[in-house]
Amino acid sequence: MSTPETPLPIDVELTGYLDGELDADARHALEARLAADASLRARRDRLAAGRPDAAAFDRLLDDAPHDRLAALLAAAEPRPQPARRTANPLLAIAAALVLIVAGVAAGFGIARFALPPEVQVVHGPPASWREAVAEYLALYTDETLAIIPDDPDLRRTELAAAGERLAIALTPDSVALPGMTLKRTELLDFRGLPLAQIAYLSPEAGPVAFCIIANGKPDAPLAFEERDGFNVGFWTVGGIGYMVIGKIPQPRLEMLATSLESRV
Amino acid sequence: MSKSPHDAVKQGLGDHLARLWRYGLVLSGSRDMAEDLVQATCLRALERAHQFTPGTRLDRWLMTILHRTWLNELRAARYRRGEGLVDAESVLVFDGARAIEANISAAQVLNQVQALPEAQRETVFLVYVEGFTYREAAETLDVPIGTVMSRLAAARAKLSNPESNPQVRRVTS
Repeated sequence: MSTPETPLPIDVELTGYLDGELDADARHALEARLAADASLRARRDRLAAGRPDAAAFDRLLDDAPHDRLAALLAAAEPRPQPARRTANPLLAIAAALVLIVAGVAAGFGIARFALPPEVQVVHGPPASWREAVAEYLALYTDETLAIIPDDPDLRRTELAAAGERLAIALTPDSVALPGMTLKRTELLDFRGLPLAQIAYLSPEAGPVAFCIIANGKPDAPLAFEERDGFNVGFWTVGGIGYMVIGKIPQPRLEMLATSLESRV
Repeated sequence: MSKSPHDAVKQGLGDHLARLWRYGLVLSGSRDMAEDLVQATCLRALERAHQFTPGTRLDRWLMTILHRTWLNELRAARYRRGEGLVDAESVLVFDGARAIEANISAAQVLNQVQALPEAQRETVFLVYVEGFTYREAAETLDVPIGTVMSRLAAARAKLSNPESNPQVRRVTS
């Protein structure tokens, strides 16, 4: 960078002057120096030209997705207070983790003084539904899924119920993944939006999930990211968001996601 | 009959959604993330509606919540995913094709501001676009007023001489 991040003291003073933020004494003193110093006036004029035109940002307001933002607000309701908070499984898990961490810390004698209130508060909701899914799946082990008995009828019933809630058709065939056992479908809730998690157990990759949320977002093609040590493939069609997540190498993940995309 | 704090904040939020989204866009460089930030801000604001002091400026309070949400969650999540902060390539969201139709100089201003380091960018936005006083910006960003002044001075020096900022470049798509 050719411009230092630390500005000259005179630039700071001139900027405060230009922004009308100097107190009267400092302003008068600087004005006297400006009157006597042409190079200082030139510097002031250059800095004055560096104030961005706020009107340039107006078009971003026009660009905002007004309808979707209004819908987000309409759907936004604060989480219930702690007594009811455990109604949400993701939050219950987060709360449990905080307690476990605090307990472990205390057990090792680390917490010699009370944890500040900020630490005891459950961290806010995950920033996005994919983050929430990744955090949830991170709690899974092979055993989590292995102990679920295989029951094709129950699997079909679970899928149908989740599909009905999301208004899409879900069957064991439409969500089958090669080399993996379909273990369970759960209907969850992410900020008031229905979210289905279809869990599989892979002999090589361990727990894998295919998740679907009715979030009304615009269509987006298949894309990939890494979250919490998982590879994730995700896309959106017709206001429904999809993601496949697991410790699966990307080429295979892409194949699985493309296959699901064509069937669901 | 007075409204409950929850209802008052919810109604006030409706007037500021586009501005909150714009701040989220300036911070994150991503339209999707801007939407997520607005959603999280709405939730937090409603959860904490009782903490809002009637008679003070709701927009300042909401911007502070959005900024903290950005710092605490989204940026942390990005770091965890190994993406780091948005780089100059990805923040140039104001693409050239539309800019030519609309207003090239406005697009240049946006790109130049967007190419500033994050600390300078958010400060410039709050003070020069949103009209925050130095004190309001310092409170929202949780930094001393001197830091606000220093960031603005560095930003003005750069913006008055775009060639000195190697990250600024035109994009067309």
